[in-house]
Amino acid sequence: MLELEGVRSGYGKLEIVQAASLRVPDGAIVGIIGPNGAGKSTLLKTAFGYLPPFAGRIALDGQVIAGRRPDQIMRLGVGYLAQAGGLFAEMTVHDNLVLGGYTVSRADKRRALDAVYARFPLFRDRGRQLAGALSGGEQRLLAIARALIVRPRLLLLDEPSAALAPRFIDLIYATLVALNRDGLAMLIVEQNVEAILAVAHRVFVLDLGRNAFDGTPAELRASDRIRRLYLGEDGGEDEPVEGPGR
Amino acid sequence: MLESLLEFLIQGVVLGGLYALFAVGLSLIFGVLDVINVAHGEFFAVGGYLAFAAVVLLHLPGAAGVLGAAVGTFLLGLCVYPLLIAPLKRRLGGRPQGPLYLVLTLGLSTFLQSSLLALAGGDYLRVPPQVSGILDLGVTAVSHQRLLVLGVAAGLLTALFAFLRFHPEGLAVRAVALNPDAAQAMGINLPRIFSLTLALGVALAGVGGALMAPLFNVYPAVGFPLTIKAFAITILGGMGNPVGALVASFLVSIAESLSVMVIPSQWQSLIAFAVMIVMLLVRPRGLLGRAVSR
Amino acid sequence: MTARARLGLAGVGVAALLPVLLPHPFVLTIATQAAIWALLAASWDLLSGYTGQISFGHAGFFALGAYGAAVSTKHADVSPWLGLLVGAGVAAAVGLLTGFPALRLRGHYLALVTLGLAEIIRLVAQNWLDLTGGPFGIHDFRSFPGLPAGALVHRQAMYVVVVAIVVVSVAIMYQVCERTTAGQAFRAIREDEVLAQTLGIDTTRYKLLAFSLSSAFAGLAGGLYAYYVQLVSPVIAGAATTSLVIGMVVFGGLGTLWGPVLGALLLYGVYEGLRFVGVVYNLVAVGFVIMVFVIFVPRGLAGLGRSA
Repeated sequence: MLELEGVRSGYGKLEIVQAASLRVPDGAIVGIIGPNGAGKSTLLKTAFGYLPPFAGRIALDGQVIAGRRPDQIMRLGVGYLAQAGGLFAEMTVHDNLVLGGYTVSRADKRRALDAVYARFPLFRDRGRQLAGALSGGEQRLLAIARALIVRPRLLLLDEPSAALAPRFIDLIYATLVALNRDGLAMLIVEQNVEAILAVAHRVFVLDLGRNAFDGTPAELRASDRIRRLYLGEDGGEDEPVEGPGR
Repeated sequence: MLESLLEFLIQGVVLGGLYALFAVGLSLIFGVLDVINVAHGEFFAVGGYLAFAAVVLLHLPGAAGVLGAAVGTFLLGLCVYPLLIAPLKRRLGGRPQGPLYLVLTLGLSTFLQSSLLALAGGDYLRVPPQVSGILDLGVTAVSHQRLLVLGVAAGLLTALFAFLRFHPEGLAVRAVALNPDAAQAMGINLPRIFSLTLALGVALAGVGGALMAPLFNVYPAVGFPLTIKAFAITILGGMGNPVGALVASFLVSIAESLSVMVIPSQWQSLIAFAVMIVMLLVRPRGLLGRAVSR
Repeated sequence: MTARARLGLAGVGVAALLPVLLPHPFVLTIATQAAIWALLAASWDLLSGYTGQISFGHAGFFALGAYGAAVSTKHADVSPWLGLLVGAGVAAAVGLLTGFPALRLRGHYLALVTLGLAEIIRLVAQNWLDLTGGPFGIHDFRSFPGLPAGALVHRQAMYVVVVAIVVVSVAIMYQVCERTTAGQAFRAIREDEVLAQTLGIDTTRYKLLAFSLSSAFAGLAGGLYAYYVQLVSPVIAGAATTSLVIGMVVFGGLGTLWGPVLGALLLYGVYEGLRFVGVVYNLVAVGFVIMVFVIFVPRGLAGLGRSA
């Protein structure tokens, strides 16, 4: 569904992603992990059009999307969840959701909103609350709910577990898995290696802007080298991965 | 004493309508585009010239002049984002460089003002009032023209705030002002919203220019003193907050009006600037603005 | 000094000699005023280009210098040579005061405060009849004593005096900006003020220094203007002055000092030259130049040919 080949990008003259390639097959959950500064978030932003790629191919269902604006890519069925600050904090929960349906016709909007409220009943009575007043986990759920209004086929998530209590991390990932079972593909950048290894079909490791490894979670765990470098000694902790000593 | 107070209060309120038309547009443009439009006053002037052209040259009724000013400045405003701001943004790559945009709009201001001078000459052009007559309120008399300004301002600004509050596109404009990245992820076309907002903001000034033409006369630099005052007003209200600009417009206009009781009238304008400087030192975000990270 | 800078200075040197070699009164008039603008432009560049504190109020300091000089000579019979210092001193004092709020303001807000300040100065100049002569300004004050009397020779002498003062001033500013630790501090503050602070640079001290120096030289330019043109009116504190100065610096190249000088000479030459074509077009060109250069030629003339 989504193909990135040899992508180079960064900010201004600063090149952060040197040469990254990955594929997200239809209906799959693909993870991106790696040390801080490896370019994971940058790559995700580039895929969604926030940053223009310096080089490389980015295609959605075979159609080249490199160089398009985020709102154009969104209309192709792609959703994007920022790491932080993705909501309109000074607006109400209701308005946030309505904005999620900006591209949906008036007639479908009501139906779409109802569908989302059905899946996330906790927001039904909180319509008038300011989005910024919600707890961290609730905000993350709201962002997901909002992204679902347009029924995307692919979601790009930037560290969905960041700064969340373990209880919420479980809830978020359970939600994502359920959504995936309904056919929604996902590309997830994560620092929380355990969380993503538990749900992903395939994981790409990015280091210093380049691909370092890719494989199924089992393959990653099986490799001693990868375990030591990127997963922590025993690969079984819930903490952010530390990069290889530099 | 009370009579004087009332008289100046009323005059202040009437003046506030004009300030509001100007400052709300300016604040909206800043809130959405993060650009301070130094050339705002020139759109006011253009509005005046369009009214002159419609009424004096083409012998159309006064209302046509106002409508023509609105449409004309709107169309001119639509050109500003794609021709000037977008190219600069592309070069800067999204790095915040506020002052450079200020320099750009300063250049635009100089360019527009002197173009008007070149095209139309420096004479003060007279435009007949759209409405004549005076309303006698006992304590004071207010010309119908000034009341028209207040009325139109009230109507247009109500429409604007209703648009921002209830219409989906208005919601989109607010979204862009709050969080442009998230707005894009919602499918909102940023360049379109930027152009639309800028055009709307300057069209308000253009309407103001057409309505005030009978009172101020029309000449190239007619808008500039208002621009600087509007900066002071928007800072007082909180840059980027149109409601703050609305409130501050009346606060300043009434303060200016009342001040005539204690200081000579030519020093009136100082109040606005003094207030601005004090605000910037004490509370840069203004009365209603969001906290400033600078 | 880079090769480009040498070339620029050589060009300026040639331009400077021209009026002496071709003593046409019109050429002398333009050249003298261009030199004054060059000083003003350089002073703006010191503050806004080098130190990154973009000021929209330099017209105010210019006016303070002009009025300070004119008023002291007219009302207190101060010799014009000293009057220059008075003007510069007044401007520097106000500049120093302005520096204090600047410590906390950045970007747009600083620009607006300085714009407001210039407007206040203009309003005071316009309305304080007794001191400033109101809207018509001050015109009956003497100029530099001791200069030769003949019409043309007098102009030439004036030209030499003005240019000499401008050259020395710009040289001083250049020394400070390029050869002292203060200059390094200025640039550090422009690049990243927070970083500069963590590196132990006393940004407060250097910002205040930049404001004082910049406004002092702007005031000096104002004083020269006063004694040259012999008419000081509130117009000089207005937007056209600010526009012209910013245009000159943007045209010449922010943060190079010699760029703004060159930009001032060229732009002023064009500005006055266009006056021949028809008064009304000259500011149009300035506005156009500002817009085009800010967008497409950010480093101005000083940066042409240099790889980005």
